[in-house]
Amino acid sequence: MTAILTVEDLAKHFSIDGKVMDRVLGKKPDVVRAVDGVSFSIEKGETLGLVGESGCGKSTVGRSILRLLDPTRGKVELDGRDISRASRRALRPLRRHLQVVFQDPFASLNPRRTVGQSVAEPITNYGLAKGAALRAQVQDLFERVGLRADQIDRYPHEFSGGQRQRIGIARALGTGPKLLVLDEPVSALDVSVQAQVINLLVDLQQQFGLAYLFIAHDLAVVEHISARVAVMYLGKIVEIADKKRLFDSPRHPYTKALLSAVPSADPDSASKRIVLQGDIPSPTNPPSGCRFRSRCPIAQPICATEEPRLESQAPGHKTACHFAQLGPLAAPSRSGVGPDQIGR
Amino acid sequence: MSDEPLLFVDGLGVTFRTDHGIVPALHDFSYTLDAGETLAIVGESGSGKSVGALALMRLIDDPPGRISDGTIRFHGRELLTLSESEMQKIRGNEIAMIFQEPMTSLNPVFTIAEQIVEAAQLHQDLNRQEAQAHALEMLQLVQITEPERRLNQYPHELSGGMCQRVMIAMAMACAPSILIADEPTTALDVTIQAQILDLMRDLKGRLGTAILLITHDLGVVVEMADRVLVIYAGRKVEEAPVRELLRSPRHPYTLGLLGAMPRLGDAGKGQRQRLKEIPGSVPSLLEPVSGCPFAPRCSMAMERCHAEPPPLEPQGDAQHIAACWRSDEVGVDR
Repeated sequence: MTAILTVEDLAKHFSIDGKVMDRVLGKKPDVVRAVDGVSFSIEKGETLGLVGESGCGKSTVGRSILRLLDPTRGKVELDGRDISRASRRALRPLRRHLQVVFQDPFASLNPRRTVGQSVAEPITNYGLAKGAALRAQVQDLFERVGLRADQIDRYPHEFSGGQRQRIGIARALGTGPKLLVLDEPVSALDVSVQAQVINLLVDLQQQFGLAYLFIAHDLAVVEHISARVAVMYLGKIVEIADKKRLFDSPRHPYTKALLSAVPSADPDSASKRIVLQGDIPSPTNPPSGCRFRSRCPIAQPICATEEPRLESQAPGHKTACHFAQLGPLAAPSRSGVGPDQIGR
Repeated sequence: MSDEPLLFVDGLGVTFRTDHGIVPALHDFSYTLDAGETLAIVGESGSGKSVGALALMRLIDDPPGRISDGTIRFHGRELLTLSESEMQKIRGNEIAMIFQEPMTSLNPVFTIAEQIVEAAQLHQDLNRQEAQAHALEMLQLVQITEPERRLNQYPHELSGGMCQRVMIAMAMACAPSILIADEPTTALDVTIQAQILDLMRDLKGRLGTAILLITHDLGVVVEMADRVLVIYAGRKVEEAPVRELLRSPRHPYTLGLLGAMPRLGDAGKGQRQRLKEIPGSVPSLLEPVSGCPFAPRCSMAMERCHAEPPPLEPQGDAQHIAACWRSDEVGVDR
């Protein structure tokens, strides 16, 4: 197996323009460290799920890989070629292999063009087909994503949310990509439609041998679709492992809390919930040492002084926590913030 | 009157006038809510679940909306015929509401204190100082961090979770007997959602408030509700105690929703299964429905389903009702 995408120490910092007076006084602008040193790789045909709460930087990772944002630091290799510093011109032929599907199917299609035109655009852009061949290809793409070939001359407003998301997927497939960045592709959809789109993504992956970077906040969806999963918190990956290990025996206290916080629709489950206190700190001023320590139920003095590195505890399982080696059975528990019995 | 539930809604119909015709958003919609109980209304976008709650508060804009049929009795008193000023005494005071978007539900140009004080003074006879003290008390009740500091902050200075706590504080300021929670945690992250659900459960236990929970998330329903009502295309299709509904759904739509939902931990149980799809999408309410509204998407539909609307009928358990001609056959393979 070879990696289609390798990301090394990727960082993206945004500077916030301070108030006028601050600038006059020569104060340095605040810097938001949205992504601060993230490394992972995706194999050909594999799905890596990237999960985290709002503001953790997961979408910024996706956008930096796509070069919709220029990374501040780090390396992004697509099929062995570094694209993080490539010029626009050098990037163009590479981008064919790297496509994206966005969250909001209502905002990501041009309302004044037919959906067929939208799907055809990337194909003409790369000069891959024209005329009757192009039309045939667009019709074929429509059928592959579960739409009818005769719908290509309609406008976006004539389609439902789920159908529009299918159109967005068809558009991404046109140039024969190797990797799709899927940024919350199903979170705007109703449950019944969400299942259709997830099944479609699974089918297309098998048909075309696509690799997916699946960015989402819904853990159940990510578990369903991914082979491996990375959990982000405040701009860093805190844990990455294959799906089964991550969901069955998470080692990072944040992953444990995140999993326990998902309401279970199983009436027989009597899960113990770890309720985290407080909110996610601001990425302009993250806590010293381990970024999770301000909400961590097992934080110790060392967590404030030393930042834990993302280290391997088992093959394919890396965790950034000083106490990760204690293993899955050492459940975090301290009075006041320990696990609460819910199971009503 | 002693055996009448706290809230009794019967045959409620709501229509909206649009450019394309009259949309029946809610049709023959009935439910009851007992004191201290939590009833969840579950449905997808456009199913009418929020309209049902707004109608209860008489907050449907008329025009274009109109409550066309039915009766809503609260403490045995008909709400639909009350005057606007009588209704104002009930709104916020006896029936309060929190919304999905806590950030946009608060007024951005007033401080948190001003907003809670306004709510409290409107409904209770408090002077300014008493109301200020009350506001602080309410913030402490919803366990916000540093409540004294929050009082003088503006909504943009608070996180989404904190704003929702403030909304809950305002809603609870008058100790209402019913709290309507319309997707209260949908906009929040999962760890914050867990905090807010805990808070709501805690307040319900302490104050005995009945909760009408509107949501699309069956996980939230299991954690919060006693009974659940499933709504599709403006109609109630099934109602049952939560566990009963999840274990033996009697409507194909409910079964479909349960199968379409990926569940945490499923992957660990063996090979990845395909999610069960419900084909098609939610129907437009503009088209008149002759039979069962779910029939066009239903794998079990037969001729009768397209022609004759199925009535809501008891399903074994006295509290379990469903509207399906073939309800006996639903989920037999489960």
